Amino acid sequence: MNGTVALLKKELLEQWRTSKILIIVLGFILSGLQGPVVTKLLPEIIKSSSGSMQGIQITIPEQTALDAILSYISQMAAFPSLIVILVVMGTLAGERERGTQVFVLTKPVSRTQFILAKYFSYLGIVVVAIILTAVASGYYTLLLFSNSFSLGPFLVLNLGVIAYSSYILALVVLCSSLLKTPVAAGGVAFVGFLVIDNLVKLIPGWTGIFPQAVFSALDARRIMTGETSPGNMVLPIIIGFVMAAVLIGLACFSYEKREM
Amino acid sequence: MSDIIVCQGLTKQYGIRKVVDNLDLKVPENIVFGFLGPNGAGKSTTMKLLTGQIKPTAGHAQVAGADVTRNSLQARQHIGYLSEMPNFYSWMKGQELLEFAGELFGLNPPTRRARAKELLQLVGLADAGGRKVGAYSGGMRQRLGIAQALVNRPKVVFLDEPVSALDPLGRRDVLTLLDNIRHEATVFMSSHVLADVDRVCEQVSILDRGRVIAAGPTVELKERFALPAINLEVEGDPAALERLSAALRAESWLKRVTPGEPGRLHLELTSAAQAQEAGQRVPRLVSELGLSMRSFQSAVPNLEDVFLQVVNRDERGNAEPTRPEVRV
Repeated sequence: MNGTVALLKKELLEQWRTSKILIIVLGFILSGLQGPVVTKLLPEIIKSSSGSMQGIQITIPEQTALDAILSYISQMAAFPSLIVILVVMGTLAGERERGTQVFVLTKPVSRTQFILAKYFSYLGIVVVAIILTAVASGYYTLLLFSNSFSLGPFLVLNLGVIAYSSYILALVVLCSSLLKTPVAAGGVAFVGFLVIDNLVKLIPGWTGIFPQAVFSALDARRIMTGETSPGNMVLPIIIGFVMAAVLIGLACFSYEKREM
Repeated sequence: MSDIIVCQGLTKQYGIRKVVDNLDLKVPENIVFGFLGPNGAGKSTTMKLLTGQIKPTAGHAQVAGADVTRNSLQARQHIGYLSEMPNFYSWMKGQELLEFAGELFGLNPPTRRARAKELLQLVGLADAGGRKVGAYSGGMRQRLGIAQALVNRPKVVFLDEPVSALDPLGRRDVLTLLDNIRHEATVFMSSHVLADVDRVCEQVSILDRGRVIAAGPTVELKERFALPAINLEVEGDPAALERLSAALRAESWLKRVTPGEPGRLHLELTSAAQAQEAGQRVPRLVSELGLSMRSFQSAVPNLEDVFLQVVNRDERGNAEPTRPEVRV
């Protein structure tokens, strides 16, 4: 237990001193804020770019707070995942490459503790980043649009974003535990992320049960408008956390077996 | 004196290659133990096995009463380890790193803070404790590595080449430190600097191709294996000196002549029984060649002689086939 707390503190201090906390939080907030800001500016952008297209009439429906929230949710799929891959890819592979893991793993701490401390410290930062992003995006949505949005469904969708991010994070930690260099870990994690995301979209019925469901514009709209119950998102959220647990379990198992 | 490290049939195999081959080893408590061998002999792999970093293919090992091959976590509570090329978190300060190491061993905050300061003082880094490790030189990192290996007051300290990155003064300080901590802990060290091992190690094991080929108290190994040698100093014409070297090489009792400074020769004899013959022949040859002898002394055998003798490598670096283990 002592070792786990010490490792968690060390990870958080490392992420603070190496600016990883800043990169994750700022990256997430900037991605999320694009939702309300771009939605607000979209009519102006289209109007200014359509000046040269004489004779073509473009009708833009009035943008609402709901459009801004849906845009925010969709923004949380791609760029934040890339940030997580880039920041976390070296977490184990980098320590192995530099030889710093020997210093820790010859002390009375297990490799599982070592991996869990890394995973949960990053997860904590990612959750805080998502909460701050949600607050900032919600605030700007209310500021930029005259109408409001339902808070309950918004919170459920954000919980879905957390579940999805916890699974992406676990995927990167697994790759970092298996591969020798951070670049290889990042590359494989990126390919894995693309393959799994596309596989889920391709197979009928899968989108609704995997955490990727949160980024489905149609499903998210239905939840936000009350057409479907937010309870429909419970299964994808649970599956997201289960996928994360399985991937982290695999990372711990492979690392325990691995030669230093 | 009980044994604090016991290995029985310890084997580590990668593919068909046995890096550590059926190793049996016993190390008594509170000594400085030297673990020697040529490059690739399996020293670092053995240390990794004994510190629980890797699992053996066969056999088992006990360190400080715990089976390190089955429950390395328990054994690691009592050991300290410094790797051959130590690398630490560059973003941490020296003092922080030692406190973090103490925290991993469960030391409370005031204890680990005091221990970190004490160790920084001990390894000569008291002024650098507030600096980031990334700014440390190789020698400073090695000193810090020794400090972190001692943070838990271990029963056994494994040091893989602990003086390799140090300058002569640093080496002297670290060797004195190792000499002092033998009262608290057993030091198990590997080194290529045989003079250092000779200076501090009471016992040594010499490893070659994963097997112990000689083991025992350093003094006894030297008596047993070091070839008798003579240091000769003569004065005279350099051409005559060349002729003396040539004449000596033709003698059956001589194994090797190593020229030193001008006029000095180191003569290795084939066995101790030849010493008397050498004592008669050398002065005669010196006289016949018109040289005058300034000194003729028996050389004190050292660990390097033992090492070369048991590892039995020729001057081109080729090894002879594996020899059976010799224990003194």
